[in-house]
Amino acid sequence: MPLAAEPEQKNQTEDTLDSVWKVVVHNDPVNLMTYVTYVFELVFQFPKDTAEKHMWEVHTKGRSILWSGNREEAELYTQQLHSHLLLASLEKSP
Amino acid sequence: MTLAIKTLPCGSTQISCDTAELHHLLQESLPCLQELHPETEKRLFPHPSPDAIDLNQDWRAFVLPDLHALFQAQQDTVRADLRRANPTPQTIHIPQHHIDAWIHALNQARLHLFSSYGLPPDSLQNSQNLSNPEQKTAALKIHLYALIQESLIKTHRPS
Repeated sequence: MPLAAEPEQKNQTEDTLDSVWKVVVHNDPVNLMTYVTYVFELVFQFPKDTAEKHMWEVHTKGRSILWSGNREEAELYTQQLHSHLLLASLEKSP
Repeated sequence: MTLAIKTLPCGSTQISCDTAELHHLLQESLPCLQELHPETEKRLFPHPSPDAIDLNQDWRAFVLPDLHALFQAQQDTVRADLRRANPTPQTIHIPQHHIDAWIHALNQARLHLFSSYGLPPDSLQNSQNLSNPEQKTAALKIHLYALIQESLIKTHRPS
């Protein structure tokens, strides 16, 4: 009689690394709109109009998702945004 | 105070001010990174995740020291340029390769002033409504540094 197949168990690390993570920038009352646009162009190599679109989304809606993908890259982008003093966070997609 | 910001043909920037105030104002406004006001610390070094405790712990251990060093280097560059400034009339010369440090150090100063003086969120749009004189002065400094910062960004844009 064959053994029942073991249910596949993904360990937590694999699940975290495979998950999609979002890089989110949040509004704050101090950073200038020109500065935020400038940082988006620098960090993400966006053309100016794309950077401005995200800046306006942060300004009017309180936040904008700038990038999504694997956790390692999301952490790198978040670190770069923090180095430019933007309020940025990582969020795991459901 | 009269302030003039000029971009020179070589790409550097010259800030001219008719008083020595700007030099002292800037020196005082840069946050001391070794002894940060708690609200400034929260703002300059925010947690990267609202709920991933392991990520926040790793961030504190591995990322914050690098950010500290970066912010300190930016301040050191600005302080060195201020020390070289001509005293009267005050002219601050910012070499082109220092402009990035100035943009970021000015931002540190603006965030530090806002956080440490507990300015309300919409106070920069309506600073005349502030009743506390120290907060009013902090708001004026934030606006002054914003003028300089914007001028530097315009000369330094990547595109």
